[in-house]
Amino acid sequence: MHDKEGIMIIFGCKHTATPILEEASGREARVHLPDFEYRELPCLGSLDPLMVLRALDEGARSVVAVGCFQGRCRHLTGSQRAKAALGHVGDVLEEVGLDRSMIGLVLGSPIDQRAMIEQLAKFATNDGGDVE
Amino acid sequence: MITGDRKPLEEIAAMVEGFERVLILGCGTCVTVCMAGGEREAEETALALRLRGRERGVSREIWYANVERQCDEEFLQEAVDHVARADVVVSLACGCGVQHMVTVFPDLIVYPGLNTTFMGVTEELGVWAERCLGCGDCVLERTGGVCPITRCSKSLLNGPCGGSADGACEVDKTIPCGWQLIIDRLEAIGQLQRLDEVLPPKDWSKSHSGGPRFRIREDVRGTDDVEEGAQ
Repeated sequence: MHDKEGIMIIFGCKHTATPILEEASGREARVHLPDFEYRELPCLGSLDPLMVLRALDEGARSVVAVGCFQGRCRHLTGSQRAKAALGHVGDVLEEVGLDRSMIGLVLGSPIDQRAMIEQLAKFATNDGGDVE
Repeated sequence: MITGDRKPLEEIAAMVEGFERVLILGCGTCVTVCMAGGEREAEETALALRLRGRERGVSREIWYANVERQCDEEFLQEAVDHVARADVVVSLACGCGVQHMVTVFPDLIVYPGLNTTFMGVTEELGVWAERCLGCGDCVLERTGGVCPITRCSKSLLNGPCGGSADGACEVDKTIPCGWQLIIDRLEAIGQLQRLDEVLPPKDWSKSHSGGPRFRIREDVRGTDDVEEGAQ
């Protein structure tokens, strides 16, 4: 099952990432970013380490989680939970000799589309990296 | 519950080196609760080993399954189809589950994916603590429900030792002194006089010292001998 070979998979918070990556402005994001697949979450706090590992198992080149600035999460702790989940995945990747920079976390604001896309582009061009 | 820690993935990878079809089998009871060897951890282990294999250009089939309890044959039978496909099984159960797997499936190669650690409780979310050594001679009724064997670093039966200070153990100051816990508890339930009793040397023959222990309920065990139609 490697049908996502080489693409970047983005898990995004419905409130922060969807307006930038999926709705009207999503077209602009696709201009600036390499091929990606967007997977919406109700909150980044629901990001499960298994989701990230499954995405990599599907062949994704990298996986990035996009959500709200810490302290701005509608569900209060979503970004911290996502950070913990990604930390666990990073540990697993390191354990098997893989680079933890395959995964990343981008936090921002839904009203600052440019900054968010710039951070995502930076993550993508670095071929991953712990972007926050 | 019985707790454990998943073995390092490199150790598991080395065990299954050379096998084509690798089943990671989780256990749905104790090690699920302590988040070490349940279905989620089985999937995570399978995914990690697959990613590792892909990175190294090794092609092999690695998948996962889960049964309710690996220490009971009736539950292990649910894994028969998976087991039949596998060249090797990495069991994420405790040592009891691994050993029962090889008893129930004598031709199967089963390796442990977990280091079984202790019998304990969930102290807080994500923290499990040892509470019982299975010594076979429980004294909790005399110690206010706090076990001196596991909670005292020296397993003293008549403590505390001279190293107890400010309620902490001298072996590790982050550990509460087991005997301080016992005294506090006995005081709280009005049984401080229990400390006047000297606990005799422990009968360790009831522990592991004499080889594997068995628990037998003859009334249950003997049902095969009951003649048909007998009341």
